[in-house]
Amino acid sequence: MTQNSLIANEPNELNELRQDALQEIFNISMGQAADSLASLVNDRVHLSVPQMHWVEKSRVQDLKAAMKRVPKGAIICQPFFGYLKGEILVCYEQGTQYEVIGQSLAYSRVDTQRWQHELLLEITNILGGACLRGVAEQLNIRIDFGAPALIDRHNDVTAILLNPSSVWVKALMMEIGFSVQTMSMTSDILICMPEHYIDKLFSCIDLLLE
Amino acid sequence: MNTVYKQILNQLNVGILVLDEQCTLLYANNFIRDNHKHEPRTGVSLFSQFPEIPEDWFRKRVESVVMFHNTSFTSWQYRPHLLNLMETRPITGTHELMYQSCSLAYLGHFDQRHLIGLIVQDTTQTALSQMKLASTLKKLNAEHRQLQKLNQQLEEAQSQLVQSEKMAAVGQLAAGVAHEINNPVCFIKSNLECLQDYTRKLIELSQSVEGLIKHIDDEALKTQFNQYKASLDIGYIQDELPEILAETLDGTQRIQDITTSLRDFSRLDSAEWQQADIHQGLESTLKIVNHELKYSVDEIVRDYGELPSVLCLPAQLNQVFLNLLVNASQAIDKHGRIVIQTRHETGSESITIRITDNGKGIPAEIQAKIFDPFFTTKDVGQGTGLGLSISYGIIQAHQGNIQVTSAPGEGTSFLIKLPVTPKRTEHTVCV
Ligand SMILES: Nc1ncnc2c1ncn2[C@@H]1O[C@H](COP(=O)(O)OP(=O)(O)O)[C@@H](O)[C@H]1O
Ligand SMILES: [Mg+2]
Repeated sequence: MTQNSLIANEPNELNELRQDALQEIFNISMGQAADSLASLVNDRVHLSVPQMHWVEKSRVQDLKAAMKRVPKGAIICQPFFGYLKGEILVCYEQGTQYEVIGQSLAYSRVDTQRWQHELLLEITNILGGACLRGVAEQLNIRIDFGAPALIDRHNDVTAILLNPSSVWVKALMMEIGFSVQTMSMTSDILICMPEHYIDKLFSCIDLLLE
Repeated sequence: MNTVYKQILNQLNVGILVLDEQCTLLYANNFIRDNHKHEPRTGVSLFSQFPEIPEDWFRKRVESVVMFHNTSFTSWQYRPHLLNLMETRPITGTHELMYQSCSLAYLGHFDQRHLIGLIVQDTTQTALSQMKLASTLKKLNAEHRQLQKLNQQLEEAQSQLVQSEKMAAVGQLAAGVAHEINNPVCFIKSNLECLQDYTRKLIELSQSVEGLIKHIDDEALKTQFNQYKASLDIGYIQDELPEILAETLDGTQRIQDITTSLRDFSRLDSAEWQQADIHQGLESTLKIVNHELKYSVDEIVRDYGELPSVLCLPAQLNQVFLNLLVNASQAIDKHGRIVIQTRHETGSESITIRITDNGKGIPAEIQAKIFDPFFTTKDVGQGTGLGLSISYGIIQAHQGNIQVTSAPGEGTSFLIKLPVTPKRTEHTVCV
């Protein structure tokens, strides 16, 4: 876990408590998400314990070093909004097998070639929804999603985050490892929330902690 | 309040369908009703009203939306026409069907059933402008590549120009050296001619001395003379000396020929327009390329007519002749025959020079290209593809023209037509 000045003006003990609570909330959500995903795609789905990173744009390199792995591939982004606001970034590496998961979403074998990008968008949509739904429920807040979009055909996520014209400065990033057995793929889901919404997030957590 | 909601739904420029988890169509707003080919009925299966929707796939999406209580999306990029809705502009529109981005949203659980909303957004304008953008970008990219290629060709051309400038410089140098060599060769030659004369006289003298001695009765003197003559091998020398001198003179003559033709070919004075003898130019060029030609060409036929002197840049015309002759010899495998024909019709203002070979010929489909810079069928190092394009430029500058006729397998003929007196001679040529 990389920590920095994001929350420096708060007493440390409280922050540690909050972070532990947040971690716990995510852990529970991931468990639920993995279960519902598995039942949808009829396959073993594994979601890892989320890693929390507090990142400043000027120090994305630190994030790169702190991340378990930095895959390179098609990058899909999906915005979410409501009480909290942020984006989900998922990277799909080349060589991923889409046939089986495609079939479970009613894409025929021929289709998966032709519809590969649409399929990636939908998988992202389901994944993102599954991960954040539990969080929203536990915090008792509303989160909605925008349409996912393919933003780069071949890159790694940190390169996207480094885009000099992007607006973010500081953010909380949750790194979640994701693997589906038949896709022979392990990839990363990055849930990113800008600084401004962290306070809102913590005030929800404070309510739970009371 | 319900009617207000319905009014709003019908006023929206967005299509809205409501269905249950069995995909029974429960509601369609005006946008859908107005723009679909067939007005949909409610209370029946969605797929009976919209057979264009892929059923299995759609049901799966509905299932996941119900399972996760989330929203699922489709994009015009991948699924442009989920529903067969008509373009909203039947007159100025360019496409029959509307491009759509849709979302399938979970609405909630009412009266024992899950309700799902399908929201259809008209993205035709975005789609069309994006597609236009993409095709423009593609075109731009292609043009960019073309430009890069041209740029590269330009660079090559430049380096070739530098190269040909170097060659011109070498030519000048050669002409200069030739001139320098020519002077000593001249006096060597005239000295040799003197020597020839003197030795002839000396031999004559020695022969008459020998004749005189034969008539003398002094046997001792005779023997002494003959011994002396034999020991010096004078008999042999008398035979050999004229031959040696003749050969040496011949060699000197050849050196002089070469230096003269080198000088003529590059014509140090040729940067200026002048009256020149075309035959002389052809001959000095032939001498220069002789070593190229002699292996493959058995015969060079000079079919020369009467030519007036022509106002030209002689060194540049020689360059043209050189290119044509070298091409001809390169096209010939063996037993070559090159015919050089020159003509001037009485009273005509122009002359013609025709160089014909019996080489492999030029296929019809590339005949139009051979004058292009860098067009070559030869291996790297063998051809630059510049010879004919430079020649073309030179002939143009002389206000003449150059044409090719060729029969593959039989041979090729280049015809040059030159005005005797070009009108604008201030024209300078770049070679
Ligand atoms: N006399 C000829 N016979 C056959 N092909 C010829 C002849 N002259 C020119 N060509 C063709 O035209 C091409 C271009 O000639 P040129 O401009 O002199 O370039 P290069 O000789 O360096 O290839 C040659 O590569 C050859 O294919
Ligand atoms: Mg040539």
